[in-house]
Order: sequence, then structure tokens, then C-alpha cells
Amino acid sequence: MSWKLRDYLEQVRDAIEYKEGATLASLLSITSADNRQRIAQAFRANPRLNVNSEVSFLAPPWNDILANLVKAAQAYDNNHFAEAYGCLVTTFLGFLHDFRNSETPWNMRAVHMLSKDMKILAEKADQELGLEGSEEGKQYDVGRRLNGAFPAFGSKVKRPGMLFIVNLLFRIYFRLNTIKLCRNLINVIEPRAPAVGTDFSTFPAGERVTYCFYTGRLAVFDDDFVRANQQLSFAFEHCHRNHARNQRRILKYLIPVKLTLGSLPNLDLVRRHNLTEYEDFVVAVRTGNIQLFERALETNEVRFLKSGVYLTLERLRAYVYRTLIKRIASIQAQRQPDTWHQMKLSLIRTALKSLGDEMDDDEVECLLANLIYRGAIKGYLHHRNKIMVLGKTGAFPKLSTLSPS
Amino acid sequence: MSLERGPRETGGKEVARGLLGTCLDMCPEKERRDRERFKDLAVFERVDGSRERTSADLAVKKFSRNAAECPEDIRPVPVLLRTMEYLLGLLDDPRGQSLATVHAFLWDRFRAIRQDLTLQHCVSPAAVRLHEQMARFHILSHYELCESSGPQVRASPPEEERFEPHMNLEQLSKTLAGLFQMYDDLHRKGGVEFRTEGEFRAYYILMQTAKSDGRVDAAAVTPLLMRLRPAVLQSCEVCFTLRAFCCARAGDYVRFFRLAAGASYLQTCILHGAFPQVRSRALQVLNKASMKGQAWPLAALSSVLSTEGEVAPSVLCLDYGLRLAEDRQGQPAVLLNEPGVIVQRPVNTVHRKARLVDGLRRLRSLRSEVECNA
Repeated sequence: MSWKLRDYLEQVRDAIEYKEGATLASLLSITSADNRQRIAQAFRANPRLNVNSEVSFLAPPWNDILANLVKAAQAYDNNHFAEAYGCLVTTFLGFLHDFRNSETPWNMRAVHMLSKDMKILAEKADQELGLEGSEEGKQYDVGRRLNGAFPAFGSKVKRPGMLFIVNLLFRIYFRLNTIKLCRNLINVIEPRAPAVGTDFSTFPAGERVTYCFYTGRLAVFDDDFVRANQQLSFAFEHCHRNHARNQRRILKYLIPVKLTLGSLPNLDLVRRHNLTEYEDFVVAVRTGNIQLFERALETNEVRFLKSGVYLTLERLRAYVYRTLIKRIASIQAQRQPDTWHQMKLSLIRTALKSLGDEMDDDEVECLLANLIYRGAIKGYLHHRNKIMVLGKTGAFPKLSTLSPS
Repeated sequence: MSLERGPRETGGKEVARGLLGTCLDMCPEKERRDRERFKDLAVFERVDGSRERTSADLAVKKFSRNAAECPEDIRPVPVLLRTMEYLLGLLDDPRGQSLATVHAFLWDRFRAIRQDLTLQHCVSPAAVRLHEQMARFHILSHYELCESSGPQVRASPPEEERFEPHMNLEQLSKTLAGLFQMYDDLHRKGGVEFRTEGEFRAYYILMQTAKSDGRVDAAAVTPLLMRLRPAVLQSCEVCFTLRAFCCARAGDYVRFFRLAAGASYLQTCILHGAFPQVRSRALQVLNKASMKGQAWPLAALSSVLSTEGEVAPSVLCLDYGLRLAEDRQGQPAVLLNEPGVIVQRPVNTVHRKARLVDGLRRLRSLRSEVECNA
């Protein structure tokens, strides 16, 4: 059965005329093989097919917009991604303009579909350009285009659709590693002076999870662990039960954050999601095992650096030492119930050495001073006598009460 | 000047599109004549000290914002290499001028070199080498001239000699940004890897340790680490500087200064900028963690905060608002954890050169430090 281009175009026109948003969206997707193949087939059946004359039955601006869509599909099919990208941008801008002018958001899904396809094409285009030795800029370009789309979502009834675009941009910026550009996106979704009826719950559930995942990761970069915990916890709690892969991705960042806040996750949880690289950290912090900690950090160093959690995990060293010193103190309390709270630095030094951690007096003093300063140990140092005097009660406050900085 | 194309780079690993310069002098002839006429010649460019006469051997193209240039005003890569050689020669022989004057001259002329490279879309090993040398220069001059700026400089020096640290840092950042772009491009397109990449990525990490506002900037370091390829991530320079960064962040002043003592000269040139904030935090920590009114011997302070050959520990303590006294043994000491006394960061951070850094200069000449191949 020969499939005619004209039929396809008429279907699109009907969807636009009758405002059938879902149908339109699925028709417009050229990354979906179906549409692309049909268009390619039509051209193979009739090599002299002229796109411009085929679309001429449509009223402007639709004739030009759909001509570009067809060209984009054709180019994609021939693996000319840069060319396909260019045509799709024109299509996108056309539909965006129409969306902006319509009172109802009926064609929002179509705009979303085109945005998503643009991003995919931009990635392929940059790959293609890179291999040719040309300048790769399509992903940056799609970033600019999507940023330019925000005004179209300005009205209250259209605003929920903004999060989809923001999340696409997060994906693009994280891929390009242009983290600074992410900051502006947060201002779009979480404005300082929010208008009535624009709170976070008005956005679609799935998009909220994605948003919180990315903003949680951004907060980790900033060492803002309280916010990171908020965002990533929200993402985890609202992530669909069956989306195991997404749950794991969230936990990959949430677990180090929880550890930094002194909240130790259940080992079962860690194992169930196959995040074994964190097991040793949980154990090390809980038991004060410094050797285990250093080994865990070193073994997976490159992996942690690549995923961006290394600097977060590195901070846990202080907590491990705090717990270790607490253990030493409790052993001392059994041996010398009257004077245990006056701990000689040499005692701590010897204990550390027996655990394979050699430090000199200055290093021990520095370590203890920092722990006292941060409130992890209640006490003070007597430099001349080289002792640390602990408070008789509550000398080691719970880790969860400490501020992470 | 003939319109013939200048000699192309060999190796086939470059992406050279755009204009191809044809100027075979360090400074285009037209610019020489213009600047002679306007008496706009730097001291190094003057023939017999005359403000109105220069020569092809002395004049070096000045940076100009006007980017619309014709090929005869742009120097091709071999000329840029020769220009760089000549400029670095001024580090060895500054012709009686101060380092600050040399710096001001090189600061501008290096910008012009980078501009010529950009106009010619030149991304090649030669361009990488030029950027690396320029970066090293900005790094060492940041330290060597640290005493030329700040509150201790009373008299205002004449225009030519004024060293502006923030402008130096700005050019260093731009040079590194351009350099990193080239590392990425050359690796992606031709699989080219530079032995020196670790050295320079590490300098960037160190710069985040010594931010001007005294903060340690983790947000700037993590994204960088995420994009480095494993060979660079595991290079000794990156590993080392990451440890220094983490020490500064954790307030581990003892290890920080020990690492600094074991770093390279250029690394400590940058780390030196972080000394004030590490010391400040150390004093805050010790002030809070010590017994009330504890007298801490200055000798101990000097040792852990590595002040020897830089600043007297007593001066340091007074700078930070702490009081001095004598301890039980009659030794000079600083009083810690006194009621109502808080450690204050000095309003104007006074930078002094440090023997710790000076002692690390293995090779005596500054030029060797810039050109050194590790």
C-alpha cells in the first residue's frame, strides 16, 4: 500500500483544526520511527515528490512549518542530523508561536514533543559535526531556543507545562557540564516572590520528581546539604514504585547527603538498590573505622569523582574520627572511671597508631581542635599538658545534631 | 607584505580555519608607524629611549579590542612563537626595569598573542604550548608581585608599574579557559593527549582554594572533576591539589601547610593566596577549642601555621585581633579563648612573600619556570 504524503499532512491539519492535542503530538514526532518511515516511504515511492507543492494546500504559516517538518524527517532518515536539526527548529518555532497565541494549552503536548525531539537531534548533530571537525554548537543552540520558550508558558493555565522544558534544559546542561546555566532555571520554577496559585504542587507529578533530582544534585555541588536532602528525599519518596532505575539514581546522591547530615541509611536499602560502593561508608561512620573509610574512598575514587559525590564523601572523615575517639573514650571510661574525661593526646595517638593511622602531636591537636570547633566533641584542649578535657556528660553529641559545615 | 598564504602547521592535528595571518614581524608595520606618531611606545619598544622611534626588532603588537583585522595585521603561528621567545627573554633581561613593568608589558602583549590565535581559529599543540607558558607567567607573577599591591604600598607608583592582582587573575582565568577548551577539542577530534594537562587542571583546582572572598569553592571544582578523563584525574598534580583543596576546606591547617611545603614552586605561588584564610580559620578553631585564657607559645603557632620567613607570629596574632602574653616558661605566647575576643580577619589582607615559596624555586630564572617541561 503506497502511503501518500498528502494523507499524513491532512491528518496533521485535521488534528490542528479540531484541536486534538494528543494526536497532533504523536504525529509530529520524527524521532519515532513510524512517522519517519512513512515519510521516507512516500519519497521512495515517488522520488520526484516536491515538498513545497505538497504542502501548498495548507494555509500559511502551516505550509512552511510542515514543509520543514517533512524535510527534517527526511534528513534524519538520511543521517543528516545537523540539517534535520535546523529544519526542526523552524517547525518548533512555528508551533510555539501558535501555542503562545492560543488561549487554551491544547497544543502543549505538541510543543513538548518537538522540544524533546530537538534535543535528541541536537545531540546527534553535534556528534556528526564533531566527527567532521566542525564546530559543535547545536546543543548550546537548543538550550537557547528552549530558554526563549518560557514567555509562551506565562499564563496560569499554561505554567504547569514549563517544568517539562526546564527539565529538558537540566538534562542538556548536565550533559554539557555547563552547571552555571542551571541556576537561572531554579529562579523560573522557584521565584523569590511567587504569584498566587503558582506553587510547586501545580506541576505534574513525574516532572516534579525529575526537577527535584536535578536541583538536589545542584545543591550537592554547592555543599548545601540541607536543601540537597530536601530535594532528593522528595524525589525519592515520590518516585514511582516500579521505576527501580530512577530510584537508584536518586539514592546514588541521596545516600552521601544523608551521611553528611549524620543520618545513617539502612544497609538493606543500600544493598537492595545495588549501591554497594556506599556500604563501607555506612559501616565506617557508624563504627569509627578510619581504615575502612580511607580504603572505601580510594577504591572507588574515580567513580565518585565522575559522579560528583567525591567531595561530599570526603567530608565524612571528620565523623569517622569523631566516632573513633568516642570509642577510645568509652574504653578509657571503663579502665579509669574517675579520670577518663581527661584524655591524653598521646593516648589518642597510640590508639590511632595501633589502627594503622600514624599522626604526630600537631596533627592530633589539629584534628581534635576542629572536632571541638564544629561541636562534634564537647570539651577543650590544654595545649601545654597535651590533654583534651571532655565534658562529663554529652561529650559526643549525636551526628545528626551537627551542622554539616 | 605579499598576500601569499603563510606557512601552515604540520601535523594535521589542528583545526585551523578562519583568517591566516601574513604579518612576519612581531608588530605589524602600520601599527608601528601609528604608535610612533602617537608616542604610544612601551619602554621596551623604544629605540635609544625615544618615545617616537621603534623598530621591527623591538615593537610587539599591542592588544586591541578591534577584532576586524586583515591578514597583514595578524601574525601566523611561527611568528607568534618567535614573539613569545622574545617576550620571555625580558624575564631574563628586563633591561633595568622592574618586574612589575615587565609584567604590565607582557600582560598586554600576551593578550594580543591570544587574540591572533583566536582570529586564526588556531587549535594546535603550538597554541597549547603558548597558552601554557602564558598561564605559568601569570601564576608566578601573581606571587612575585604580591607585595606590590595592597595596603603596604603607600606611594602610588607610576601607571606603568602598577600591578593589579585581580586583573592578573582575570587573564589567568581566561588563558586557562582557552587552554582547557583546546585540550578538550584536540582530544575529541584527534585523540591528542598532553602530558601537561594534569599540571594545568591542577592549577585551576588550586585557584578555587584561594578565592578572593576567602571561600573554598566546591561548586567550581566538582563539575571540572566530572569531566576529566581518568588519566588526568589520576595524574599526580590533580591528586595532590585535590588533597590540598580538601585540607583547606576541612580546616586541616597542619596538613595543608605540609602539603604546601612539598608542592612545586608554581603550585605554591597559587596556594600562597590561600594562606590568610587557612590561618584565619586555624586561629578561629584554636581560639574556640582551647582552654579559657590558654597561653599558646608563638613557637608552636609559627610551626603549624608555617610563618617562618614570612611574617612574625606576633604580628600575625595582632593582625587577627588576638592578645599576646608570656606563658609559664616566659616564652612569648598568644592568649586564646579570652572572653569577648573574637578572631577577626584583617580588613585589608596584607600579602607578604614567603620563604616557603621562594625556597621552592628550583631553577633560578623566572623564564625557566615559565618554559619548564616537567
